[in-house]
Amino acid sequence: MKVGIRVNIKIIAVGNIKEGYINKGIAHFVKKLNAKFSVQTIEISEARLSQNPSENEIEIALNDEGNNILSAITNQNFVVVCDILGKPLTSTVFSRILKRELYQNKKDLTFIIGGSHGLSKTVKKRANLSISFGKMTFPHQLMRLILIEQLSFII
Amino acid sequence: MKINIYTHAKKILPFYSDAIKEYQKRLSRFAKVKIIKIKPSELNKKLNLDSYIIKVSSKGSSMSSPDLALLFETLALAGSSEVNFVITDESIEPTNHISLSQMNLSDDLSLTILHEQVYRSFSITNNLPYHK
Repeated sequence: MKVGIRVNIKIIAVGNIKEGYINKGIAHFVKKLNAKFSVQTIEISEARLSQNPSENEIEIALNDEGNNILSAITNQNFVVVCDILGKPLTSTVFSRILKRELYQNKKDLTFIIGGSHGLSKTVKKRANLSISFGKMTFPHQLMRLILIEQLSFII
Repeated sequence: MKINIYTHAKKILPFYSDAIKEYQKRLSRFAKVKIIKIKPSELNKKLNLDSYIIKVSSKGSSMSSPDLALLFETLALAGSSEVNFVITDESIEPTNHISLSQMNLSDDLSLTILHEQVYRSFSITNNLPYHK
């Protein structure tokens, strides 16, 4: 992150990444994006769950993570969540929306990726846009790499 | 099962190549996965049109991971010993046309995701725990 320059792109993700190759990949695309923008990544720690968590237990965990996510969002940001049930936008349309927010509406962008159980209702409600990369289930660590590669291509 | 993945990727970024190696290692107990680099112009000449060909592009039909697992199971039951995935935007005559995402992904990332999804398919079919 460049000193004294406002953060244009914030990525809030639940959980940390253990795989070296994913970390290297993310660093590669963050570096590319940093040529034009200032990118900040915030990792929210994943709430602990029992071996076979109940629906209720998962909801409580998601709400805990959700509160931490919401407090990391700056009010005037355009917030995008990645959700398997979100809109399956093409790269062209996704690009058009992000560029409009960045350059016409002068907004900063925040992207949110949940942990293994997704995101709380409160976070989904705060989102300005919910996007899906398709019906396939990806590990959330890989999802972070998919998102950042896409951003480096389209904005 | 033999799984061939055809790609037009010339150079694969090192971190994607590491990811692919990791998935190939995990997949080795279920299938023999091979990456075949091919020029777009060579596709129609080199593909075995009698084999099961799955075209992979952003315009294919969106498939869930359990659907892909089911497809592999169906193929195995039908006695297919070879599946050919072709990551391409070229016009070929595939048996099936799927998308990993409706977004445009780099060829290296598509290769990585395809490996991950094939591994996930075998994990689903074999009741192995696998995280989201």
